[in-house]
Amino acid sequence: MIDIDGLRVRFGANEVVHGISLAVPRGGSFGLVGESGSGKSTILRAYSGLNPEWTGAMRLDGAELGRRRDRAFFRRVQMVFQDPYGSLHPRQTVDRALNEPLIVHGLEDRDARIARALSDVALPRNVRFRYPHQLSGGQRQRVAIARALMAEPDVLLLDEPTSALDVSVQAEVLNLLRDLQERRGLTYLLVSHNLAVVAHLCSVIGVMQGGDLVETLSAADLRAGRVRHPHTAELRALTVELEEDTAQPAAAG
Amino acid sequence: MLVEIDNLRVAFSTPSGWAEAVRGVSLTLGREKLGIVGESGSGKSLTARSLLRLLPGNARVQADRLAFDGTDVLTASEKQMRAIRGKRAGLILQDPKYSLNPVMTAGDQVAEAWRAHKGGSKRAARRAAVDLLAQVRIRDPARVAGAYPHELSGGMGQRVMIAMMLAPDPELLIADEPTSALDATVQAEILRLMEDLVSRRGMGLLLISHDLPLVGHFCDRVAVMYAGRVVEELRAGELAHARHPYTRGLLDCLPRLSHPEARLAVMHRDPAWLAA
Amino acid sequence: MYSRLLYGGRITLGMVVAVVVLVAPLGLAVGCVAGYAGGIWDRLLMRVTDIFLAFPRLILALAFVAALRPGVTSAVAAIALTAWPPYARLARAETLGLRGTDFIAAVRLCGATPGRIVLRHIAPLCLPSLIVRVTLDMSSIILTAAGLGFLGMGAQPPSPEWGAMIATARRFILEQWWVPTAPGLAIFVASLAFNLLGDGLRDVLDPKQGV
Repeated sequence: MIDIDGLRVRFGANEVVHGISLAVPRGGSFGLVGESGSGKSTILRAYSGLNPEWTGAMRLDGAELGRRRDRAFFRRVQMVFQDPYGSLHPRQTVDRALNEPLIVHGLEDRDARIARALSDVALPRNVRFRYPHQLSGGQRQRVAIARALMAEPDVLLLDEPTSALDVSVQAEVLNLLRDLQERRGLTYLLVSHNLAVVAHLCSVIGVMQGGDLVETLSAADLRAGRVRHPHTAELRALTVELEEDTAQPAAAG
Repeated sequence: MLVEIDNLRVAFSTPSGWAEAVRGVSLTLGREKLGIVGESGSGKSLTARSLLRLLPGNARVQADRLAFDGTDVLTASEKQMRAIRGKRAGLILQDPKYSLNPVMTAGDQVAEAWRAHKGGSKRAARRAAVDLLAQVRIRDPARVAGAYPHELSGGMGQRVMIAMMLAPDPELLIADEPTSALDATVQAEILRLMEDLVSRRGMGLLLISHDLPLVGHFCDRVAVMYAGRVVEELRAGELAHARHPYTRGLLDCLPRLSHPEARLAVMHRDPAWLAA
Repeated sequence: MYSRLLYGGRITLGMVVAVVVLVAPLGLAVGCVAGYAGGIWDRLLMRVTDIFLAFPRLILALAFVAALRPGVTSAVAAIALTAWPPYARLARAETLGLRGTDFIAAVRLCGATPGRIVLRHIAPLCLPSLIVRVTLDMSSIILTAAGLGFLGMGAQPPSPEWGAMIATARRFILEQWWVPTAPGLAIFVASLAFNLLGDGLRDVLDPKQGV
C-alpha cells in the first residue's frame, strides 16, 4: 500500500532524512521509532504532502506521488497528530471539525456519518456541539481520529498519537486504534518514541537514528531481543530495564 | 525531617465556589528520594509548589502542618520564603527551553545563581560555574558556559538547569517532570545524574512525574496520587506488589515489550477511590 | 450650537464608520493572503504595505484630498487609503503564527483549497485582534477626520463637522472660548469612548477567556 523508496528530505542546507526505504502492505502496520531529531516525523509529513521539499519516490497503492497532492489522495490518506490540544481548531465545535472533510469531498448524508463516526470512536453524542477546550485530552484525540476517518481513508498516518496522553488514556486510544484497524482494514504508518507502543500496534518496526533507518525488524524479533543494530539494542535495553521492576504477573482486576 | 506535609489542601476560587485540587495530602521527606506519581490533574505539581509557596494568586492553601526544615511555610514571611526558594530548595521544571533565559549564556546564568547566594567576584563566580557544569557531567564545560540556551540540546539545557539549582548548595531538589521533554536515552542519564548528586550531597529529592515505572526505578519511595489524594505510598522495590487498584491500573495499562497483549487493560475508575 | 454639535457627530462618526468598513476587510484580506501564500506574494503585498506606511498619514490624506475635491467622500477615501496597512501587518503576523499549527495542517490534509483555509479557518481567528485594533484606532481616525475638516479638506462648511467647527470658531477663540471648545470636547470624549470600548473588547475577545 505504502511504498517509500530512497526518500531524502532537506530543510534548507540541512538534510534530515538520508534516503530511507520502506514498504507497508495493505492492512499492515509499520512503526517508526527513534529519538527526537531522528527524522521519523519528517517522513510522515513528507508522505502526507505537508512538506514538499523531498526527493526520491513515494507510492500509494502503486501510484507514484508527486509534489502536490490532489483531493483524491487526501480522501485515501489521513493523519493523526501528536498534540490533541493543537490539532483541533480552538474556535470550532466538534461538529464543525468533523463536517470539514465531508464538505471538502462533497459527501452526502453528513448527519448520519458524523453520528456514526462519534460512536465508532466511542464518544458520547453530546460532545458533538462542544468546543475542544471543553473536552479532555483523550476525548480530543478521539475527535482527531474521528476526523481522520470521516472520508473513509485506507491509510492512517499516526504521529505520536498517544504521547501527550496519560497512560490510562493511552491504553484506551491504543485499543481503539487496533479495533479500527481490524474493523476497517486500515493501513497504519505509526511514529513514536515509545518502543512498547510501537511494538504493541505494529508488526514491523523501523528504527531511525540521525536521519537513517538503521534497522527494520519484526515486532516478535524486537520482543525476543533478536536485534542487530546497537541503537536498537540500546533503546530496547532502556525499555526492558524499566519494565523489569514491575514485571509481575498482572493481578486480575 | 526536611519536609513535613500534613493534611495539605489546595483550592482554587472559581465562579461556582472553591474547587479543591489537593484534598488532604500528608507526606514526609528526609534526605532521600521521594517520587510523586499521578496523571494530569492529580495535584502532584500543586503539592510540590505549595511547599515553595509558588501558587497562582487565586489559590487557597490550608494544612495542619506544612514545613520545610522546621520553618512553617504557611506563616513564613516573604523574606524567609526567598531564603528557601532557590537557595535551600531548588526547583527544576519540565522544559529547559522555557526556564532558561534565552539572552544570557549558560555560564552567566549559572554564575549569577552562584553569586546571588554566595557573593564574591565575577571571576570567582565564573570559575564556580564552569566547575558546576563539570559536576553535571558536561564534557566540555568551558564551551557550554559560553553557549546560549538555543545552542544547547534539551538534555544539555536540563543539565545547565540542574547546575544552576545546585549552585547555592540546596538541601532539597524538587524536580517537576524533569525529563518528560527528553529522549529515553537522555532521560536515563539525567535521572542517574540527579540520583548520584542527591546521594553524594546528602540532599532530599522530590521527583514529580506521570511515569510510574521510571519513578519507581530511581526513587526510594513512591507516593501515588489520584484526584488530589495520596492513594498509596510504597517502597520503590515493592511496586510490583502495589495493592491499590489505581496503582495496579497504572501499571497494567502500559503496553509492554516483554509481555505482548492483544488488548491493553483499561482502567475502570471507581468513585470510591475519591473518598478513600 | 448644541444641535450643530450633535449633527456634527453624525458626520464625524459616519466618516469613522465608513473608514472602518473599508479598511478592516481590506487589511484582513491583504494580511491573510500575504501570510498564508508566503513567498513572492508575501513580499509583493508587504512592500506595497510598507510604501503606504512610509507616508505620514495626514500628509498623504491631504495630498489625496487636494488632488480630488475636498468633501466628506474624498476625506473618507483618503483616510481609508492611509489606515489599512497596520491591519494588513497585524493580520499577516497572526496568519504566520497560525499557518504552522497542527489544526491548519489537518485542514490542509482534508484536501481543502487555500482559499477555503484562509477564509473559513484563518480569517476568523485573526478577527478578534483586528476588531480590538480597529476600536483602538477609531480615535485616531476621528482625529484625522477632524484634522482634515480643520484644514478645510474634509466636510465643507456650513455642514457641521467637528473639525470644521473648530476651524470656523478659531477667529473668536479669545472672546468666546467655549464655541471651539465644545466640538473639541466632543472629539476628546468620542476618542476616549472608543479607547475604552477597545479595552473592553480586548478582555471579552481574549481567546484565553474561552468561547
